[in-house]
Amino acid sequence: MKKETRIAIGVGIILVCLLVLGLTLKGSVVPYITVSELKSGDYMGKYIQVNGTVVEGSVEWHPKDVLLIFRLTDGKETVNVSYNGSIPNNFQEGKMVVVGGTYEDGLFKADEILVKCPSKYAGEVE
Amino acid sequence: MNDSLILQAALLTGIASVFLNVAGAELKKQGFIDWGKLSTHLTLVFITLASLRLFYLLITHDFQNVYVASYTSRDLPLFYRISAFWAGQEGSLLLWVWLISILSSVVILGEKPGNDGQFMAYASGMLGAITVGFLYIIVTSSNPFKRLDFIPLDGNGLNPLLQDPGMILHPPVLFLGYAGMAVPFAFAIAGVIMRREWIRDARRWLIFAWAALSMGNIIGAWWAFHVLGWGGYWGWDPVENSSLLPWLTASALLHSVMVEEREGRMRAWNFILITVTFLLVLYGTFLTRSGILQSVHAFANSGLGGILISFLILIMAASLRLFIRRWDYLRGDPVRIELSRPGLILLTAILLLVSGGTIIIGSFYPLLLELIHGYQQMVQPGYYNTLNVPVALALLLLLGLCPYIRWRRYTFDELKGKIMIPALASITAVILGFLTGVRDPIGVSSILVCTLAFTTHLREFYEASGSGDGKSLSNLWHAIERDHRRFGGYIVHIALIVMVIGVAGSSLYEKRDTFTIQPGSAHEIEDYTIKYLGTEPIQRENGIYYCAIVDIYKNGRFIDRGVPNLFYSFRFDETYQHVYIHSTLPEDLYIIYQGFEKGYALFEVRVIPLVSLIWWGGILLLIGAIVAMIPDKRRDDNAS
Repeated sequence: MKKETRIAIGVGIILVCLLVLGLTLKGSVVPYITVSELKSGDYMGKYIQVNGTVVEGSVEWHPKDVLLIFRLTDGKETVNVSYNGSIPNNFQEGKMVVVGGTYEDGLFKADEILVKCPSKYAGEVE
Repeated sequence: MNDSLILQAALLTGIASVFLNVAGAELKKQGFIDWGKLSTHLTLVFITLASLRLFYLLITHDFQNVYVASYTSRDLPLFYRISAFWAGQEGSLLLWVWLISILSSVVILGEKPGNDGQFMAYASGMLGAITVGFLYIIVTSSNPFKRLDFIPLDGNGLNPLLQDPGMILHPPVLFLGYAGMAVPFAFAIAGVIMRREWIRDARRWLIFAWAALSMGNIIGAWWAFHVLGWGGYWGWDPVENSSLLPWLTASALLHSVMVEEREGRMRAWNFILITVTFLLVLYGTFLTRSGILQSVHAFANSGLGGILISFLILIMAASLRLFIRRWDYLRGDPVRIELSRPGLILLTAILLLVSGGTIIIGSFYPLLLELIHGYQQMVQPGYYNTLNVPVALALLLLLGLCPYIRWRRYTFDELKGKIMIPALASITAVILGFLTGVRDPIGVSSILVCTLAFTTHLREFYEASGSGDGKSLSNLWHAIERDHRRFGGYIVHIALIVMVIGVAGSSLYEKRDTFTIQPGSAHEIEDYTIKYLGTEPIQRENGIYYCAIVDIYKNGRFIDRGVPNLFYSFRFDETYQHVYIHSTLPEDLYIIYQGFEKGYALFEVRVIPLVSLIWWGGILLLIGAIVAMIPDKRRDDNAS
């Protein structure tokens, strides 16, 4: 093989790899927004992560159906959230949480709830 | 007495050892070098005194010490008071520097008579510089001996998540790997300064550090699986990634050093790889302390980021300068990608670097987005899986071919005959897998490459046991004794295959179910029936354990009684889930109890196939690494 062809093949492979990398990266970033941004923007049907505080007194837990319902707020707007699954560790009213899921017809259907680490949790040593 | 003085003394002797060693090496004065050695040992003495002092303070509940008050309490068992040494930043850094200092002294004591004094002096000087760098950080801004002006009645206590055997082992073993990488790095610097072969001295250290790094990561994964209760062991968290990165580059280096040792090629590669590995070790340390990336591991921003990053840049700049000045020595015949051992090693190194590259880009992309949009967005684990699964499969394929490809160049035709049996075995395995339900592309290709690699490696052991009728275990034993490195490497390869099977099985075929259940009734998942008998609260000094009692039946037969529980900690005012795992080789039954309300208990149950293979693979990996480190009785340089 001539040197030029080798270089051309090499450059081609690198370009394809970079393209794949870029596309994968772009596709795997989830918008991370506040409740107000959710209400004002167009996020219908898209997978998003919303952060906010669990409204005091809004949590309903239906053990039989494994259904958790609560309201999430950022101080200005609130949104109803439903979650099919178990209550996460440390989930409490008044706590900061991040919910991941889709927003449709005024209801946020969450697939995941991440509870932000309490301040006392200095973190594990690595 | 002011305990910080011990650390300041260590800093002084550390600085002395750097100057004496470097001056001794530059001026070729043995007297300086001897004093340099003494300073290195003295530094170790002081750091050991400081560490023992911290252990003493932790064990005796000296709550006037800020560190003791922050991470322990009166009710903490002795076991965890000792492990609290590395529960926080100050102690972790002290452990780091202690380990480096121990290894520096071991390097000097292990010096073979007749070895080049100048070379050892440069290496000791470099290790001394690293020790000084960390001591400087500890003395100026991360002092574990800070004292309060009053004596608290009790400390804050250790986070219950950290009160686990896995957490006693994970940080020190990982740090041993980190500190261990400093030794080959120092040898490489010394060797390249002197235009001298450094790999023979560094090889065993490299294997040692690599094994410690592997075990540190595996123990961390094991801890996450048993303690965090999310059923996983690896989450592509930025801090997890940061300890995987040096592992990837060190793995590449383990292979590429063979090419330099044998043929004098890939010198530049090896120098770059060891430098990058050590820089990644520093980066990992930096990342955990800086808080720049969102992570469950990160300590709150401690202001150490600045010093650590300057430290990192300093080492990077110095290595780069050395690289440019020694380019005449480092450049050599380039290795091409071809069917020969150097060719495959080059390809392996490239693939490992590609994998590392995707991980580093994924870790920093949120930071880039923050600069553009003003907020961080997390990269989902899917990104890492999508890109790294194909790379890992390609690596496994290379790993499978490696026993057949020796140092000369091969043609495809030569390979065809040899590869027939392993290829048939792989195809049979794929068919068997297909019949039992493995149909997705990743599962099928995993079976294919794993069986191939497993068969080719087994064949090496089979052939080493003698020819014809003369096969015996003692032949195999002698073969291993003649070439520990080769067979140790094969055992590590098999360990990696076993772990890959565990990862593939557990991530592709996990079944999970979340359900509520009333006392006395049962729930079925897969072959298992879980009968919930009720919850019993058990009060202890530090909190309440809500123990759910479940009977586990498999195919209708009683096999085990499990007690997953919820622990409410008085001190932390938090609830922690303690999972119950019924572990067997084919699959783990993972039961998470999440509470009892309105007459219903809530459970999450997972059936996770093959996950225990990851831990068994880890043990095998350790065995393989130990075998590879044993010196050969008679090293035959032609056996490859």
